[in-house]
Amino acid sequence: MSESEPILELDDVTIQYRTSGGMLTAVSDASFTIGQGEYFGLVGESGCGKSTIAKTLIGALDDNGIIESGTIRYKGEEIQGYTEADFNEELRWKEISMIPQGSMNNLDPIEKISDQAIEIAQVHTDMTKAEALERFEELFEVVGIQKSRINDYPHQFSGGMEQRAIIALALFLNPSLIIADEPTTALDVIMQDQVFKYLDEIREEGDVSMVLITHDISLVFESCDDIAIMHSGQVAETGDIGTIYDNPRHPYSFMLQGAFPDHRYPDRDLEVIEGHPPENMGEVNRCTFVDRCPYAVEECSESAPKLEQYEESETDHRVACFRSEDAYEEHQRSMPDSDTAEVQGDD
Amino acid sequence: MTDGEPVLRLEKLQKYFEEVSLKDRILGRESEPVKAVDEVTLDLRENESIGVIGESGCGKTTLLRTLMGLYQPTGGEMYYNGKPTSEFSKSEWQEYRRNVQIIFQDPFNSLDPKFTVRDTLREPLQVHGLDNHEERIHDVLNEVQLNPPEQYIDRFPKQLSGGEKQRVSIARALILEPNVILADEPVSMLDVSTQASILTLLSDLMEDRGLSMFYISHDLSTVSYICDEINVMYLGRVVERAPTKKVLKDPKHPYSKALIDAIPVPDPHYDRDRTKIEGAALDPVDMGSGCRFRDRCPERMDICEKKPRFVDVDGESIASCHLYYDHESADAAADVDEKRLAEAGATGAEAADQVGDD
Amino acid sequence: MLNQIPILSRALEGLAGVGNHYAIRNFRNGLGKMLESKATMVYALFIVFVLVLGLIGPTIAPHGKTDRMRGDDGSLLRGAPPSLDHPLGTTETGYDVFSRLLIGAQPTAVAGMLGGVLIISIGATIGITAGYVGGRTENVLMRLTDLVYGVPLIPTAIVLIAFFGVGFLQSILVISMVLWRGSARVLRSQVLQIKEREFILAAKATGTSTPRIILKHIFPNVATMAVMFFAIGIGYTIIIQAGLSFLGVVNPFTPSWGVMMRNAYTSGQVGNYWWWSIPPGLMIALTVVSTFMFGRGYERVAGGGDDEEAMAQAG
Repeated sequence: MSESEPILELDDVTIQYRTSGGMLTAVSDASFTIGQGEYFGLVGESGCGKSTIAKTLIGALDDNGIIESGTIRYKGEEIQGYTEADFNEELRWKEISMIPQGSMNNLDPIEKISDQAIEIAQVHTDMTKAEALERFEELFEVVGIQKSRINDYPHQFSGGMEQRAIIALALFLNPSLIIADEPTTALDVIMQDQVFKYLDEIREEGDVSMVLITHDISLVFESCDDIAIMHSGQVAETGDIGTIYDNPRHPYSFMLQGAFPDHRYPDRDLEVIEGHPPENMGEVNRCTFVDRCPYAVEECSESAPKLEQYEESETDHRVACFRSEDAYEEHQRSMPDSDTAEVQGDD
Repeated sequence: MTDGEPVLRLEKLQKYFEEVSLKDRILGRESEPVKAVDEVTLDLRENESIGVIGESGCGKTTLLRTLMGLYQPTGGEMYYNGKPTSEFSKSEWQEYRRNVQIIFQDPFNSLDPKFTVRDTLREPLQVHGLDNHEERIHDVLNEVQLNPPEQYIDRFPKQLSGGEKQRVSIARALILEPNVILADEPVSMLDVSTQASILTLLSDLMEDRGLSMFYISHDLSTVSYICDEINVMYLGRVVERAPTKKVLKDPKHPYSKALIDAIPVPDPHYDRDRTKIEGAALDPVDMGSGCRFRDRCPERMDICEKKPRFVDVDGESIASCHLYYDHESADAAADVDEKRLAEAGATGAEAADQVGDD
Repeated sequence: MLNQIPILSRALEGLAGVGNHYAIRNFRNGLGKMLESKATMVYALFIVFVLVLGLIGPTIAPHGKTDRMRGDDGSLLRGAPPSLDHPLGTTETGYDVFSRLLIGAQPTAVAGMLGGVLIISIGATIGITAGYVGGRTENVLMRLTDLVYGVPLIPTAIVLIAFFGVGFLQSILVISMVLWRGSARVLRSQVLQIKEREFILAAKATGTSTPRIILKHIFPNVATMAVMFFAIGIGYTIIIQAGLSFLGVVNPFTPSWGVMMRNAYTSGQVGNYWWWSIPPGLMIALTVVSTFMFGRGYERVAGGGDDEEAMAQAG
């Protein structure tokens, strides 16, 4: 937890898309805060709105998308109203940069990587070509690629290496915030670990904050400091990873965790969550998890629960659930004993 | 495991792809083929499910497609109920295609977007000349828990969720009452919350119907819910075979170890070391002889330039690694066995390469 | 109520069954989607208008093809400007332009439809077969397509007409024999993409025969593109035929709009008798534009749907 001003604050942000069927609400009253040097995991399944948030933070929201309400503050400055030009001039690459999904072709295939780096440097700063190259070589070292390879073309890199080269590009102009949108989803598990090894090292140095957007909660538990769990546009719960693991209060939170297999306990029954996340048209006036939640009560379909501090936690731990007091306990009571026994046993 | 004839047997199956580049042609050079599947031997028995795990490029997809009959093997043999498929007549292939069904990974592309659920399920019945369409369709939809069937039967794929689409794919695979299911990572493109129910469905169906399953995946964490035995594949070869839990707890081959050690654990209190493996896998061309993992293996020795034998390590795990056998005695034994086999007239399978089951 | 009459109800069921047949259903769905775009609808309506004109034009024309207009004094009404009697005036030789326009709709529409059907039939057969079957067949067919791409349209048409004769039908045939090339290429590449999708592999793995796969799986999934090429084919045929008419290599006695324009031109009075050359020219232009715009609009609206939804859900 940092003492200083947070790098990024989202406050009751609602983002909608204009479609032929009406206003599709992708994100509804979402709030979370990211401190300096902090790695923050944004976890959710399809349709939860995490990609929409990623795009919004880098100013790449689709043409038919609008930030309907709420504020987004970067280093204290409100950016939800920024135009394309504002993003280019003030934020992109030098303040906020992005590591996109590995499966897309993010690098220009006909340009050498060094040339692409130089281009970025010259558009956004007044570095000379030599300065830019030197800096870029430094970064290649940081991510574990030989310096000589900065003159290669993208196709000469393997998948994992290409992602690392992209990380080098993302760090190039010393941004304060990196948005990593499913950066390792397309990579094999060993390559993924290689990439995270370098993300760990960068985290050690403490200069950069990162938002890791992913559907894989294990990555967040291993590599991040804090986490926010989203379901169909709403933030269900946020807090530091230890708290959310030890004491999850939102049903989606603990059920989602239960759905992830853990290869240390291959016999453990996986949690099943019925149904699928709903699409929201117009204003969201209920908990979007209500139709899938075994602990739902009437209140849950009547209004959207507010994201509030869970009183019994000492740390910053917020939940948006009318049953945050007792849903988890009810869940634990219904679990077979063998489960707890396994968790205690270790190899 | 039941003894007796395996339902499917692969013996030193090979699938090479010729990639003749223009440069090679001009220079009159012989080009190296892409050895996607290089001498894979394995058995699938009744009521058994085996998994093939590996990262992209390891050959598991090619293996699956060869099993499907989409590719013809370039070497080795595939036996179905004891008969080699290279000798199949047309009607035998038709029977094979009825008894061996497939479920794909990608729910969005597995179903024809212009077909309703009924159309999709009816087609296999029409192709194989079965009657009673409506009844069979209803029954199978119930089995995959798309209840009530009437609600789903006239829908188009775009009106179904990812999980529902996969259930329809499973229904399509079951409707001909096969005895073998080939599954290509059927849950990897689904949300985690749906994965569990599909995995449970598959394992229940296998039990209820006494099916055998051949399951390929890159994700070791989900295979334990489906597979009894795991084969780890690397660049076209099986490098380890063991019961699922054994592989997860005690992997023998350095690659299996690296793979399992790299799996992220959903527990913030668990301190896992990052992988020490560098680089990426070789290109499946020009790999030379010898162990294919040698360029990245932390246990590499000089002898790894030679192709390792596939040996029984401890009665449960079998691995293809020089770490696990006494070379002198193994070579000597192989010579003796070869002589004996040659005398008995068997088709030169190296004794040490024959996989002992159980 | 009608259902109570057994035969009728059986017939209605049958019709409903046919209506549900995948081909018709796809068409209905496509139409439905297309109607969402107002612009496309407008173009579609114009095409229908021209087709209807083609059907009833000769019947509703106030004067016959060979009627010569005479003035009150009995003399030939040459080059009369538009008036109440003759809304589009008369030609140099005294024919009523308005009637000729209506009569001319028929051969024009027929040419368009025939040409469109031929183009898409040849193009689809070649393109889909090449795409799906692959191998040597694909090579041969695609090289043939490349060859046909290489020939310049009008000069080749003229040469072929020298062979087949200067007839109305011959001209359509000749045009189709060259213009199928575009649809063949595009449909082939579409088939190449579809053929790798898992539902095709699944059908193959179950032992579905190749003809069946092509008919039931490939066809419906390329149908939208095929409709577009059909529409464009209609437009192309009409305008190329008009061009050929203008060059004089088409039978001058079939009173299509193209021939009308040629007659206007050869009379040397194009500048003076504007009411003679502009209407057919305008009609041709509007018809061709409508077919092109409808074709592309249809493809855009009816085609893209499925994939976009899949993408959105995945996000």
